[in-house]
Amino acid sequence: MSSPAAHTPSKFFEAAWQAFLRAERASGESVNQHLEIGRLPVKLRFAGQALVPRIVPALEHLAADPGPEPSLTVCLFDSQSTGTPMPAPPWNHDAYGPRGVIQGFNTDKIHTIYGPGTSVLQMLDRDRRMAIYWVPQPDAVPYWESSFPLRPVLHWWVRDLPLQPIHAGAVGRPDGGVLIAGRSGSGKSTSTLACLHSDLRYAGDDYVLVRVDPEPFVFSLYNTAKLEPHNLARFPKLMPMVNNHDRLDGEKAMIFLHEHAPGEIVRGFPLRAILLPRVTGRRDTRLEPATPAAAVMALAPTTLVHLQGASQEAFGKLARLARKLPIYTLEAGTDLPQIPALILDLLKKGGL
Amino acid sequence: MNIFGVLRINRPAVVSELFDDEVVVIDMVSGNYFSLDATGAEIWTWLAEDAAPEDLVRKTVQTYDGDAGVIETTVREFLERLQAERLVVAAEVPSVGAPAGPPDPPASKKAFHPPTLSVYTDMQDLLLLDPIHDVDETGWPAAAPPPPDPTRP
Repeated sequence: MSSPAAHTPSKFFEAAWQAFLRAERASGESVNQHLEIGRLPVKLRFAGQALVPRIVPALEHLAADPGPEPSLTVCLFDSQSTGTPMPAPPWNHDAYGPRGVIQGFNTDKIHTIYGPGTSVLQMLDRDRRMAIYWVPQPDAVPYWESSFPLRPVLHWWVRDLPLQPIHAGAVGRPDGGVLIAGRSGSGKSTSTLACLHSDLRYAGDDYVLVRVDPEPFVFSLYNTAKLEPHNLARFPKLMPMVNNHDRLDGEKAMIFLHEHAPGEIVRGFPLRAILLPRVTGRRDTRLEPATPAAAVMALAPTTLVHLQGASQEAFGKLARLARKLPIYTLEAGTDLPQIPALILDLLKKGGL
Repeated sequence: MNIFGVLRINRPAVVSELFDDEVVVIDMVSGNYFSLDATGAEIWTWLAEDAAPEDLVRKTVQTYDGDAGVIETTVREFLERLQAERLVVAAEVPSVGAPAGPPDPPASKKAFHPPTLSVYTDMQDLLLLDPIHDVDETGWPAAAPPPPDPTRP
């Protein structure tokens, strides 16, 4: 337990910020990575280099020149490489709630999670437009966290904006594309990655950022393609790009597309439809009309349960999105080139 | 002062959205999610404001065509199911400012189809990924092997 002075969310955030400043001084360097996320300037400020390779690769395609005052600054450090401890948590053991939410340290102004199951602390102070990301040592960042870092922070940050991180893939062209939504195992990643090396471009296959109003638009968040290892054989062009070949016995194959195929990536496009993949085992792929309720069933539980602190407001954004767009079941066949061809045909018709 | 027993949606843990004649409901605590069909969706909309079970039964009988006894039994079972899933909770409200109950019935009745509640539990595993271990000398939970990718089926 730390001193009672830090026993409020704001004071603990301040204590964590001071620890970051000490870590930055101790590391001898501040590494700044400027990004544009959802057309807003975001700055990642690292105390030293240790966390850079664990956080930046998935976001590197969003790199931007230093510009106006950031809408969000994320300060990241680890204790091991900087020799700087994080103040002890002011909450007790009972405060660790579902999905890592720290009870009593989530207010209208401050958000706090630890984990779940990991040693990653993430906090956001809305008024200061600043987040803290801390781990005891760099290897406490799980490999999958490196594939979609900072999800909770980004989710909290856009709470009051018409933006929402969504567990979905997205492919299209600068003038329009589709969201590919489904829970894990639905064929979402396979359908999305089947569009690589076609006339469609990739905005994401796991998490994307969607602007709901006034017109639906998707922004790329992460350039990380992830595949179950047994599925890799269907994507021979991706095999040489796999980042974690030596760990595929326990990890999904992970590919940073910005590093290997930057031309495949698009930063965003207007959304024309939502596709709900369903693996059929048949050869051919086809589309069948579906309902907004079906889209929300595919989008909302997996998005909201993954994102700590999600609420009726976030659910409302997803529902509005589903009501605004045509919805189709993508009955995905085994002949993968048919998937981008069908999507391109749909887009030529304006999504209808 | 009289006290009325009512049912209310278990907010904020429970979030819901209405689509035409279907309601999608998510319990953010359990991770379970639900689909309510047309009749169930209508009863759910009546629950948006605190409502007594007997008012919900009366309204359903007035709105739908069918045997009143069968409708009552079916609706009460449906409400019990919603309570068992913690989607609605019982509450007591004083008579002053007590809920007015569901709105007036329509002029013509619809055919009664028993309300259905479809339950999906595939998100539960994710919520079990919450192992908090003993704290170490720094006051933070001792490091544990990272859990699997939460987006992995």
